[in-house]
Amino acid sequence: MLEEVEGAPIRVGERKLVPVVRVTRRVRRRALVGSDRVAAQGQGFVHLRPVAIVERSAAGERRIPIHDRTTQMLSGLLLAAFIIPLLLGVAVRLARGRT
Amino acid sequence: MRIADWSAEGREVMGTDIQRVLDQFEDLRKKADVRSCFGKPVAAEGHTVIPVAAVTYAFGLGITEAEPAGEETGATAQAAETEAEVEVTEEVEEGLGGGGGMLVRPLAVIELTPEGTLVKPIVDEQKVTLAGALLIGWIALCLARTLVRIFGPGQVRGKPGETP
Repeated sequence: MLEEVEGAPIRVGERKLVPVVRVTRRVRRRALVGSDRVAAQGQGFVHLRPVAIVERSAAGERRIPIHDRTTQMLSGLLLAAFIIPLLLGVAVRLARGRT
Repeated sequence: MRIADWSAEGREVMGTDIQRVLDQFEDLRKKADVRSCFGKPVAAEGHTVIPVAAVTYAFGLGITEAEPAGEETGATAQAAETEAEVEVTEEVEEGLGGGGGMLVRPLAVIELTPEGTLVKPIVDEQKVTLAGALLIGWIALCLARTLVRIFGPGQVRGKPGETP
């Protein structure tokens, strides 16, 4: 289950900051009743990722996004790790085509 | 002893344990507090700083109760019934296990200044540096393979029809 929720505002001086968080949660519960056995199990997973902060002041309302730079950089490096070997493979084909 | 023969108290205890396990997960969405991602504001020299982090937690729990292996013989059951005071015990094999973990990863810092509000992202330099080093090694390996395939000793060159 994925949803974006606004949290309780944080007041700093005259400014009010409202956090916006993307919540991902998955909960599973299971119970088993048999003739000679009773069992129950459950698993839960929750991920809270801040996505923005809404600043409300006398000047108005402003939404400021929060970016995960580390994940963006790691994703870029992973993408390069896939693309560069493909480009080198194309270079090999072109080189063999000329000979 | 079959589960159907358990006393009402035994069945109630069993039900309570099972229900307790299931109730651990029922309020999970209430426990996922959005404010846990934002730390307490710290004020210094006219500036206020609020740390921001991504929070992940997971846990699992399980419980089982079963009849023990083996059955009472007819003679043993009759001997127990003839006792003046019969002590009824419920032998139950039960097991309980669980585990959990929590991860907090800093994302950014919110800085409140007299000029305005700024969000400064935090980069995990150690992770990025390690990933960059691995990428360089991977590219070097791919490049070496490429050069061997193009200029390697097994590559025969010459015009078509000519004997190399």
